Amino acid sequence: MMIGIRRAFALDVRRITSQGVFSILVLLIGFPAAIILLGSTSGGVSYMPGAAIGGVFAMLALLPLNAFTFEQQGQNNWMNGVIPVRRIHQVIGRYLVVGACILILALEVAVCVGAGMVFESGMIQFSALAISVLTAVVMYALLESVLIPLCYRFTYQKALLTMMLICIGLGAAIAAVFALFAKLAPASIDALISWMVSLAEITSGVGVVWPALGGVFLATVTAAVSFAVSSRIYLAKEF
Amino acid sequence: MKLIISSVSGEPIYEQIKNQIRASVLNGELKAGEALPSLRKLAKELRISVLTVTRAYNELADEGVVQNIQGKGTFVMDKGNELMRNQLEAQALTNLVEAVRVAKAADISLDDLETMLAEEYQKLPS
Amino acid sequence: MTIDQSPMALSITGATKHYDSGFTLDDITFDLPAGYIMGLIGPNGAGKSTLIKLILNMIHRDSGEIHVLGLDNIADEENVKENLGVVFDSSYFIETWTVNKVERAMAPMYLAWDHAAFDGYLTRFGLDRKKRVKELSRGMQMKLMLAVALSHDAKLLVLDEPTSGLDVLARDELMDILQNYIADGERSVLFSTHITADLERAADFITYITRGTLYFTGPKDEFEESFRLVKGGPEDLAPDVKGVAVGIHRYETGFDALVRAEDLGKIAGLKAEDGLHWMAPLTAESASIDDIIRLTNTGDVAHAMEVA
Repeated sequence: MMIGIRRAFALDVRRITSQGVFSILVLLIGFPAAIILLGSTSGGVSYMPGAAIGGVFAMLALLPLNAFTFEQQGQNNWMNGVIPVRRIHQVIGRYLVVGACILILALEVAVCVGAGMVFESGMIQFSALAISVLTAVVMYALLESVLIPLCYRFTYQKALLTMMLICIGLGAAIAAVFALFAKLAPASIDALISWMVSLAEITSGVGVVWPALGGVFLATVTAAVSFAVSSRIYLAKEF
Repeated sequence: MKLIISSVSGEPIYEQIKNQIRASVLNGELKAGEALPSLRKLAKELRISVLTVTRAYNELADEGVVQNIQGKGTFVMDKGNELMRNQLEAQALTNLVEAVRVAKAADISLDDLETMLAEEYQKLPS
Repeated sequence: MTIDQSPMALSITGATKHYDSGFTLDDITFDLPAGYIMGLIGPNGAGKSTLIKLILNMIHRDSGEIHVLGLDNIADEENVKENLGVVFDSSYFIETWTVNKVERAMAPMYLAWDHAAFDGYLTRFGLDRKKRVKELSRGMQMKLMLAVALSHDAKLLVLDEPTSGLDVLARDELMDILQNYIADGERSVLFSTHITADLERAADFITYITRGTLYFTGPKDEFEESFRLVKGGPEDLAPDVKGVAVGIHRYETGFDALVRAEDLGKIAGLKAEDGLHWMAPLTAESASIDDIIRLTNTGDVAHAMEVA
């Protein structure tokens, strides 16, 4: 079993790096390097860590999806029927790629934010650093958890389109709900805001541990559901 | 031993192999006890199906021309062995029947036919 | 024959696959004994590729069983594929990969990957390690897949239309390779093709599929011998010929009718007084694989013509 997963993972890495590892490495090293370079020459550049993380996040978000793009090129998906790897292991392998990307993301965020802090104040605030890393990781995990099953179900382009529609749809739905409440019961908005404020007060009291655990829990559950959906789709797939 | 496959003769390939091996055995080119080329080697060299060669060898074994020894190969039988003798007799008889049919159609008398047979028999070296 | 005692390289029992489009691969059953080459033939759309995809578990079968080297192709998928070499009619590698990258991607997939063997095939086929897959001709891409298929000690090769992009020399070379491959008596080949010249040379067995159903499976010689081509003038197409013919092709000056060898005796037109065959109005000759495919696929047409 392990060998099957290892093969699937290795093959996905080969797929992702089909155009060469160079460009990927340049970007992964480039963002943190830019922070450090700019920081060391000009001192604190407050917006730089955010920009760097944004870039790294976007690139890493697309990286696992590259496995799908290349798979859908020509008849590369037929290779999945040739290699001695069970389909379920192929899915696990692909989620491991996401896992690897999460590790890279955590490291990148830590380096960027940490460097930013050093240039800003000369020291690293570890709890703030941990929150940044965790926030990025949870957001990333949630995003990929939605994207991967979509890519299994649709072609890469269609999946991205669907994702966009989902985002727009969600945004529109939330806006609609708010608009509705604002019109029908303006008081409820005030109540919601005061509730959120009080929630923020409470949570600031609990520290970062509980929200962090909550975030990790949410990400884990979403990932598990995502994996279940993906394997269901892929096991039923015909090439 | 010479073995040539013709693709235009219309004769099935296994028949061609059979006939040529049988002829080689009968004219003494292949000696009793001698091994035939292995099935797969011959198939590869003649660029034909293994099954075709298998069939030729098996049918030759049924005729008593050769013998399959499991795991060892295929070997030429002694010309004197009974099975092969019977086969040859049957073949001679078939050919004679044909000769008689033609002779009758052409009104050739038995005496004349016998003379012809004797002459032909003398002509060929044994 | 000794075939029956050999273990089966491939054993397919009642394999059925229904597509929503309406096409059904229906109840296919055949065995390929270890040590032989089997040609899978049939017109385009007959179901050859569907069958190969079923063997590879690329599509889901509705019923039936498939065993490769005695192993269930789904329950033992990893073992089965470890021992399977596959060549499709077009490349399954990523186009931007170089030949070298293809090896680096494929080698970790197999326990028995043999770098020296792969290298040998690259040299033999004239494949340059630095060339990208997309820069290779179709024939070269096939050879690259073949090199991969032959370099991990596979016991069964499955080739889907491997010769379609090849010239005569390359096809001949492929057949040489396949005959060498099975020479040890343990390895086997299943290959689908519509180029029957490939079969005439090397195939031991033929499995003939048409319209999703199995028409024949067995030794190639038996396939050709089980049919005869009956020919005659336009007026000679008597009811007894029509009755036994599996397919008839009519033309202005005569007709070709494909008849099962055992039905030959039922045709009066082949006989004449005194047993003199050359006096008979009809002639019967051996049928080639092409004749058989051609005439078994005109059945409907022949029938339609009778009605009209």
